[in-house]
Amino acid sequence: MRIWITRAAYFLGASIFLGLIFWGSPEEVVYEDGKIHFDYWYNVGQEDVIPWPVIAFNESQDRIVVHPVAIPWQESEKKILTAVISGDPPSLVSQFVPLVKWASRMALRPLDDFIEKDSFDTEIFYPALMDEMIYMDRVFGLPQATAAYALFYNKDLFREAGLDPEQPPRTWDELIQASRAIDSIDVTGRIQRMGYLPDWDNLMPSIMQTSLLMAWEKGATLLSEDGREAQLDDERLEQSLQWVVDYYDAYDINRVRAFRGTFGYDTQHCFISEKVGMFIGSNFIIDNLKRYRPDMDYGVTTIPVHELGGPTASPAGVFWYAIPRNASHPEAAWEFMAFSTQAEIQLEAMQHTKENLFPSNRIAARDDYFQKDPSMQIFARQMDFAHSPAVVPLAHEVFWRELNMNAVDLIIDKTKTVKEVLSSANAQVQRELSSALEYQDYVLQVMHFETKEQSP
Amino acid sequence: MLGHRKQDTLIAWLFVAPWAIGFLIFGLYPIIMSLYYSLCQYDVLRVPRFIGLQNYSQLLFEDPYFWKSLWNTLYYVVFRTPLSIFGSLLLASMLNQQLKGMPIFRTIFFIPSIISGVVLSVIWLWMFNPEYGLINSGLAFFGLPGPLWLQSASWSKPALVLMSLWTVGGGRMLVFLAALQGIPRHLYEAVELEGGGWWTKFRHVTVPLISPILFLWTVMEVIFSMQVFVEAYIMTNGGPANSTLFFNLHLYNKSFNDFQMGYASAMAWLLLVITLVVTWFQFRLSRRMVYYEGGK
Repeated sequence: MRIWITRAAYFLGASIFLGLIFWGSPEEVVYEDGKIHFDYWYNVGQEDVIPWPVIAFNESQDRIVVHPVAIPWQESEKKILTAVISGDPPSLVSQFVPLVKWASRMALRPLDDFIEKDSFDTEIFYPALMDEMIYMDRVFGLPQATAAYALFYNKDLFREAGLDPEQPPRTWDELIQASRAIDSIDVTGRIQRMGYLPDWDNLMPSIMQTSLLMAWEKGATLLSEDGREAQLDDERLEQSLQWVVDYYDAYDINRVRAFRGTFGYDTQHCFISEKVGMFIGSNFIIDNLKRYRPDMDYGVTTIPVHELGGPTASPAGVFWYAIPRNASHPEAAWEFMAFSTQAEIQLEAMQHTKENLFPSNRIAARDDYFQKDPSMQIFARQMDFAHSPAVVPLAHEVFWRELNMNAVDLIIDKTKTVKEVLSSANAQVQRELSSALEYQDYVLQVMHFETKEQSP
Repeated sequence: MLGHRKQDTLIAWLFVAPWAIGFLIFGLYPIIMSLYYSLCQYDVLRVPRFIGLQNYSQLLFEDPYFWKSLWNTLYYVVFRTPLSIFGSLLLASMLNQQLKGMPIFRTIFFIPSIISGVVLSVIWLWMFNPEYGLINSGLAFFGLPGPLWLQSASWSKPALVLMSLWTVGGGRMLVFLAALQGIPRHLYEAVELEGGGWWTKFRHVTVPLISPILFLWTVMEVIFSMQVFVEAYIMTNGGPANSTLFFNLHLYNKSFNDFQMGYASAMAWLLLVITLVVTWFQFRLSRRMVYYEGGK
């Protein structure tokens, strides 16, 4: 018996020893066709299909094979960043979060050398999208597609409220008037329908905060030119938030909260279920409208302005391609990126996918395919006034938490004044920004952005 | 050749090795590193920058959400712990009756506790819906106005406490049931002979004899409650107005949204210290309140 115990113990010990020796030596798949093979990690949308640019690229040449790997939306950012830290990332990734969050953490490889070598024209992209690809004067990604925003309005509800469905609101004042006409409150005071919600995007505080759009329209940037000073206490944002407070003054705020609690996903979306008559949303919602309310008579119009003739503003979320640091085959990955951002490929992709992506390439957006659709014309026009949602790039998350989660909640409850809320929010964002800048200055002394020579 | 004694020791170590190596790599090493990172600025992807106690001082003196989240968490602990213990004890007492079909009832009451936290959160999200929710509909049936629950800064925490009572019939209740069944019958009979009623039995027999179990679960529940996270993450994301921003949610935001791993590590260590202090205080109190039959 004892001899068996001893043997088992030694076997266990040897297994552990061998396990530790071979631990961490990932085996690379070897292809014997002489082609370069690389992995491309992308997010799965509603349609779980191979992205059209991958199919087109693989068919277009016989030197490189792109292997698309679908990863779910949830936690995708963490999955990719973990792969970067492990030192064995995919050769190419696409994401929807602000690129600067990754570039500033040196998770990505700069693309300037490729752009220069191929004389790649970055002017083909909408400026708001391309600007988001740049960090510390280097380009870290290419815009793949965008979510373009505009004001959706329900024509049936306009008719019901005695409004002209062909005359959607053009200014914020007109929007209030239309909204009040559409409102429906029963005898008990319960809100059945609201014309517009200025701070709410269906299930959560809105990334398209009306207050931020209004401040952008007035020219506020909320960050100093050198990027070192947060300016959330800008009086233009203050006036815009005050507009939101005044807007809600006409309602019992608890009734509004109860009303918002009835929103849900898909068919229960506030606009799709006709609980809200007007909604600033992206072109993505068109898919859901087709799917769940094909009968709805709705219109798409420009996001309102302060005064007729004044500039409109909209946010523009960007899907981007980038090469992680230490990725293998960066040249091949770049070739694919450059290929798939060309106008004809983007147009083909739009036609092949059931999802309503909007091209990042301006030339594609001006194509007849889009121009024949009036609502797409609106989105295209709105893109010319687009702003990146990365308002304070190095304190992005804190900025949105402060503005979305805290500021509006506190001011519509009258717990704090607009001035107090913005002063506190600015202090928090500035603290985060200063800390990020200090860290960045330190890191740049000991780490360097990967260059072509250093990449494998 | 090794002597028998040394060989035995070696064999023992070899058998322990799988666990020991796992613990050293995946337990002890991260714990030590998190202590080091709590003294650094660190975002995982870049080199750590040593900043001494700056993270701790920022937490304590500059971060209003630290105190807000701590307050929210303590509120949850203070209300949830006694209610959940009392609820489980009450249920265990009811299910301790000698009635026919009792195992079926015990199973029925246990079932809710096997539902995952995420599923539970989604179910309760609808239960708490101010307009269509089951709770407010029930209140309306009796002519009572329902609160806004998760939509209100004043009702959101009580709502989450109420929701946590969903699991009173779980493992804790089973342990209480086992403890109740371990109380000798003759002690209750002695009370009856002296003319004592159910309250006397409960106060002077049941509670003292199960007090070690009650104490153990109080300590455990306080620790679990301090780590409340999933409900707020799924249902409220900390809102409205940060009323459900619990300590671990704030920590999660700092680590996995802001990628401030150093700051988040400092938060984790502070939470550990707070938990240790609270637990130490409970142990001090237990000297006067817990009865150990065979002595300590």
